[in-house]
Amino acid sequence: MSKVKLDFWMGKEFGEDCKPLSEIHSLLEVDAEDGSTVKALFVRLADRYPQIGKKIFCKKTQSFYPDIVVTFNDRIIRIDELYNKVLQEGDKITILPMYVGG
Amino acid sequence: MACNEWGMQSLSGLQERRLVGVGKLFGYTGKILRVDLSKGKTCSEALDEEVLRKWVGGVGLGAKYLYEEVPPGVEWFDPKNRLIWSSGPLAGSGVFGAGTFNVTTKGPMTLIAGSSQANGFFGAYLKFSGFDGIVFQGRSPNPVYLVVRDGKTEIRDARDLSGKDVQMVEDDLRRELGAEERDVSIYSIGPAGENKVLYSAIVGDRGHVAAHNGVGAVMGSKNLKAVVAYRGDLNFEISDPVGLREANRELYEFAKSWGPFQKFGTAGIFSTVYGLGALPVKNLTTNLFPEHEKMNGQYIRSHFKVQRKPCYKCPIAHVVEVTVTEGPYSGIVWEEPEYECLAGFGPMIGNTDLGAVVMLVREVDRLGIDCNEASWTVAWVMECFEKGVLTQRETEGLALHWGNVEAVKELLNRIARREGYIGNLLADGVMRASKKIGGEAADWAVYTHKGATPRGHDHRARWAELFDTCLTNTSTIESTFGGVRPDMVDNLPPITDPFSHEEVSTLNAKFNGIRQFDDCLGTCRLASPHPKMVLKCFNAVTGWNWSLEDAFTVGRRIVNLLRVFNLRHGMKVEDERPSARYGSIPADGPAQGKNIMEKWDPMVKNYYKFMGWDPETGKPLPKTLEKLGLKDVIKDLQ
Repeated sequence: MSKVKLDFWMGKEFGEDCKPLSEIHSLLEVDAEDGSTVKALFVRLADRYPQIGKKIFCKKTQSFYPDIVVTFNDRIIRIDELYNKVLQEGDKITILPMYVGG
Repeated sequence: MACNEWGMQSLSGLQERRLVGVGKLFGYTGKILRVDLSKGKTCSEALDEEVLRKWVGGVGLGAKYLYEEVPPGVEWFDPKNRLIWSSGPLAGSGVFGAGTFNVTTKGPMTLIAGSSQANGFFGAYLKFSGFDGIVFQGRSPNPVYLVVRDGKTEIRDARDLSGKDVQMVEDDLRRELGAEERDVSIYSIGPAGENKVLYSAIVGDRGHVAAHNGVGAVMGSKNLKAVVAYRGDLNFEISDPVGLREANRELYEFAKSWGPFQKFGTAGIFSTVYGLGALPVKNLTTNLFPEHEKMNGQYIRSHFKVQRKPCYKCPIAHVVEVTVTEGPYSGIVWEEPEYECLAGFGPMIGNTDLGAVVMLVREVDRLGIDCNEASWTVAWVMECFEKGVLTQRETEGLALHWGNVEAVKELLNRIARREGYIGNLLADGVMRASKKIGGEAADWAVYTHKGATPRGHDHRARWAELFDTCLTNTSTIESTFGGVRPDMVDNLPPITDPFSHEEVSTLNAKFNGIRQFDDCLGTCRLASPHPKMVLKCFNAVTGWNWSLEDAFTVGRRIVNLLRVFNLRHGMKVEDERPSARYGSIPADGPAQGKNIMEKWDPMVKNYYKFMGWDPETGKPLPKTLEKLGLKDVIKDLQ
């Protein structure tokens, strides 16, 4: 098992099981099975946490919703590379809303 | 089509041309107001359905008039240049948040076409006053302002408004006209526009701005200080009022959950932008700004005093007036900084005092300056100062260290008045200033080689917008609305890698069109987030039953016409690239190490190919123009 940090930048209302860090951040620490990929983790989390299934990761398409952006260890990477990342102890996945305009 | 029967410049004496070819039009007044400032006269021209179906409104009508009436050789300051203000079919229709108008002109920053939008009330009020748009031409011998009301117009003396900032102009004109706050919509230029600062803006409705490509300088060159539109009594018909109510409800339900705008304004994205490495910090020398959570919309709305100030019939109401309640600028009241200004006068210039951002935004708005170009210019001069390239001798006493907001305030005022060496140098924008200073400092400036600066992001982490900013024909983003959303239209693949040269250039080309269509409609970006839902509203208003492809076609037609205009006016395709700093590799942050310039030329060629342009010359191919109904302009490119 590896401990993985999920850092949600989804506002303080997000995530009934998350630890709120500020007005926009909340943190969830989860265990990932050995050899688990990012995609496999989120398939599991979408079942376990309704908010993740509703707003972050679509179980049906097995992909993040189009209005979600995800960084891995504070870097933006290709989506297929992201899905296939094998999780290690201490990895950090940051989930942000896609933004346009501004 | 030019007026040949000029009316008198009197609210009671406008002579209307005979309306030719106007059938049953829904969503339009069917009239354009032409104002000849040299003659001091106005007239009304008919807009027939064929023209409207081809160009729709907003930037579409702007592009049409610009192309037809401004031939190569006419400079931005020439009386022959046109300044086109155009509303659109949704403005004032009952669609929420539809009070927008577009300004199109040949602008001084890029010396080619520019298009800029302003929200508020004017787009709706202009139609209630009887016109879909205004074409300004000529130059008045003295400063004047225009009043439009109930199909009539008057050009009035504005000499006593000279030198006044836009807030004073709004106050003075309301007093002079005996108008209550929402009786009229007023847009004006400040001292910057009068002094032909090249990035002057047109500001109105207490803080809304048409900012890009120096539209305010063009207005200043025409000696036009302000335009007033009354909330008139004239109206226009809607094709399907019941269908519009339903489409409007659907659009609103989507819009209110789209992004943080309703709760936190555009400043609500500030921390998200930071999290994605796209917050511009100290002239792009770093991407680290740990203070971001004390400068975002969430902080503003929970710490400052806030009063809602919605645009025309907008329940999203992202615009608020704020009163600073902490720090040295406590007590200052102004419209809440939009994201771009917040970034521009916060991290970009090394400032961490949120109250100071409000103070500086009030300053640029009052002076009538584009906050984007201003902040890139100030950030560059600060880097020059910090590195010793410029000293207090050149800055004439200003200690332009990062975050010295009082020095920035003074500098902005000198720029607006072209005062002294530094004020005059920077009044021409960062590209021209940096070239004059030269040496390695020239490489620190952020701009596109066409002459414009980006919006207030670090696009090195946002390639779709960087590429769009360089390849655009409107002098600001053209294809994207920040990013692209292929999931919101048909037949486009999803984004898989935002740092793929091929994917970004392909998707930008394939997405190009819908944004320009939106900019034809007279509605706000935040009120029109979903193309298909917006189209339903458009069809209910006009009764035209268009498909999404029809909308894309109009947008692409506008892009191609502006491109032909630009090429004829001297645009060089080798200038479709970023400056050295703008295209540099981020040293830290989520996009660290990403290098867009590694394959810039193949990216550009790929984009040209998908746009139907010659991959080498960037010229639209004849078959592309013909397909878009632009056969007549093919000869102009030869």
